[in-house]
Amino acid sequence: MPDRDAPTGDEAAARRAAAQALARLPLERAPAPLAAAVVEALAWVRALDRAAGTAAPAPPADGVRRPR
Amino acid sequence: MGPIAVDLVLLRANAPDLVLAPGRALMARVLERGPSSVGIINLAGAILTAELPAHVRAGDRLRLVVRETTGERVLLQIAPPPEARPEPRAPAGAVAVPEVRWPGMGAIALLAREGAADGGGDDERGAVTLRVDAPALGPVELRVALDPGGVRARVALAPGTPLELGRAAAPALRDALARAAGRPALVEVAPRRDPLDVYA
Repeated sequence: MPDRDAPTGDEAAARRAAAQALARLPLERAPAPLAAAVVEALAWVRALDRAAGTAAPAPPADGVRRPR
Repeated sequence: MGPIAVDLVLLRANAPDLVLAPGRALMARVLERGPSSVGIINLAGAILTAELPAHVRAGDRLRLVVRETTGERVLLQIAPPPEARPEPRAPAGAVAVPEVRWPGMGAIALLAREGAADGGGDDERGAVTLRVDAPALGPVELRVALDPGGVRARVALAPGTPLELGRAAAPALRDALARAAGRPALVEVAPRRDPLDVYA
């Protein structure tokens, strides 16, 4: 789970990677608080993805889970 | 490319669950094209009449991005299909879906950008809608909106484990957003309904 009260090096790296990815999207002139919030949200998604990766197999590309 | 106009009431009646937020991408197929600008399209399973640009022909598959909704109509902008996305950065004024790689995760697509980039010059308002293709979660739609009163995030996740984990972790996201934006935060975690997967 994302836990900002105890940031780890991995979480800091996640924020840097998210910020770098966002910098390549056309978000010029986005308000600074919005950009900061988006970075946090992406870092949260990444942490959630890591948690999901240990909890269940990835869904297929079409998003529809099929019976095993 | 010009927009397509669809009757909002008719669309709501045929597809009540369809999300029509600006920036949302939908797939449609043109079933008929009359001599006038009016044609018939299948939009995410709903059969509708629509005003079509001159170059659109029967049989065309269209990727449409919701541009705006008024009281009576929905304006949908024709966007390039995913395989035809040429560059991460779209030319100014063009409607495209810029996408960048996110190392270790997948891809991030910018579905919509509202606020200061439109020329409003307001540093206190804006919104960004992203789609993240995550390895374990699958596609994630993320909208973050800012105004002077607060910051709001809506996260759409696949039902099942992704949604359950997302809901459990929502308080952590709320706290992180409030810290980052310096104002109150609200978070909504919802099941993902992806019209991109619904082909006519």
